[in-house]
Amino acid sequence: MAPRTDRSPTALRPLALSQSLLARADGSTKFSFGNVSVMASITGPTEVRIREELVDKATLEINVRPLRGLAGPSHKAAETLLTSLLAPLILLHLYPRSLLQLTLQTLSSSSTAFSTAFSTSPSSLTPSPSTVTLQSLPPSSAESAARINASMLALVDAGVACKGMLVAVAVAFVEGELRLDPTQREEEMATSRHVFAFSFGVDVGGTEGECVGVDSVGQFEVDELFEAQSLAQTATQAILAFIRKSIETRYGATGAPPPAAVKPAPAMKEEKMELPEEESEGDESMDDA
Amino acid sequence: MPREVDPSINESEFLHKALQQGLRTDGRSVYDMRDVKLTFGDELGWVECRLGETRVVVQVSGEIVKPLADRPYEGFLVISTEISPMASSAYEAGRASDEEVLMARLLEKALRRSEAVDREALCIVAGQKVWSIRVDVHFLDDEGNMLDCASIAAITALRHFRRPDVTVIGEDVTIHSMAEHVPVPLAIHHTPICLTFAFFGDDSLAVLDPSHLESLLASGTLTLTLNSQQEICVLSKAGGVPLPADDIMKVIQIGVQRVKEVDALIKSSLEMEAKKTVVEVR
Repeated sequence: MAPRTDRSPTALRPLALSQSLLARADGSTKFSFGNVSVMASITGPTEVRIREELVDKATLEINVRPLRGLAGPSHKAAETLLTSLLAPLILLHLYPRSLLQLTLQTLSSSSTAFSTAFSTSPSSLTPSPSTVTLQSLPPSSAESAARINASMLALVDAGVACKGMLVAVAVAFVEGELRLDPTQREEEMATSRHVFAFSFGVDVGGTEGECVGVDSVGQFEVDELFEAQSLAQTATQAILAFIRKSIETRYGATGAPPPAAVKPAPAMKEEKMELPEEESEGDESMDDA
Repeated sequence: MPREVDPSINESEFLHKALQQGLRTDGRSVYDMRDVKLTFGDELGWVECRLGETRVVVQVSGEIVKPLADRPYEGFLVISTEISPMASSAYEAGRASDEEVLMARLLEKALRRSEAVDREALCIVAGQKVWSIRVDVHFLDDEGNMLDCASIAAITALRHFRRPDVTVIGEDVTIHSMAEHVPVPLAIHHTPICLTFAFFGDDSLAVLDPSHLESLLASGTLTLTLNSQQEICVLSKAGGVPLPADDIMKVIQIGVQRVKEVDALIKSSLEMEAKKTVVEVR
């Protein structure tokens, strides 16, 4: 496969983040790596079904929904992965007997089903499937990383208390070369692909970040995994800096959270200033880190 | 899942009193729709439609399958409408409420039963290979009237979609990549659009495009599916207060006008998009 021409192998695609897009959800986020974009929404803490009620903490319900077709086993696996990554980070014990409902919707994901031509003729050289189905596309690692980032940022937008920030990125090995944030085409050609999730915050990774999750597919050496992990660590730090910048611009904050005394209390409610306050709490944990 | 919170008596009285004076809480007049905003994706067949705060994303995709034995010349049009809790926490994942089933049925009637897409044109090799066009409707935000928003998004996406070109020699089928051959648009006969009216009380008060609060307080709704040729494709009134024939005629007259406006908007948005994205070179 041809080397990358649009960016260096260790560069990310352009990142995009927008928050509070949905009117009916308590928190929502759209996060994109280039043309792979995922929307996440949070409702909660809200009423929980008695069957699922937990007396000492909130119930975390996660729904992952694909862009095309119905959710299958790979989406159930993604839900399990997200639960295991997010549950330790959210302060669930602060919301006992309630429900935190996280819904993830893939909004765009490049499909390559028809980017290569093929024929059903027996003499043809290319593999000849008799039918072309949508399910033949493998679950994308970049999409998985975008899902993790979108869920975390939706939690921040909803003001759900968390120990720290979770940031993820995908890495792939294509013909022995390390490729950060692979495109769909690169993922298909890859010998192995990995999603790394790092947590940032006091006691959960500091500013350096701590690797809290790895999801790998394919064949690879131990050395390769560590090589990929160190690349992913620097990349997640860059993504976190982008997220910080984006949230700061949104609330007009610069650097450290503003001192609380400066804000005049009564006038704020009309201007919907409640969110920035919740936000600065989220920021603090990142700052102290 | 948590039930939808009932609007308070104050809200209800305010809305009714205002409506009697011909005013709506969001400043529209009674027969106005909220602004329709269409956004197109990088990929052909991806459309986001916003009707005020209501937001729906539609992705159209195609696959090649074997046709049914009794209809060897006919392709498929599959419409998938599952409402996720993202739209509102009142919707439960994996369990369809009555409202949701009704919406899915209406969308199906509007798009499939009105024969908007020529399904025989989707045939590649009779009895062996046909296109199956899949329309995935994703409801992102429910600020009322998701059905109309979804119908606009779906028909725009179907018109925006291009399927890869196919060459048939005998029994052999070659599917050409988008780069190799110019992709082909679907054969679409007309543009059906749903318009929902909400009725309040006995004094024949009707509003077009009800907001979330209005749809909670309405005593009944009427959904019309019309096209710009002034044809009624579907007229659906499921329950609610009985309506005199005059009222129905009146809303149809208004609907005919509004459909023309929406159709013109879809057409101009598609033209604008076609200028930006080069699909074919002549």
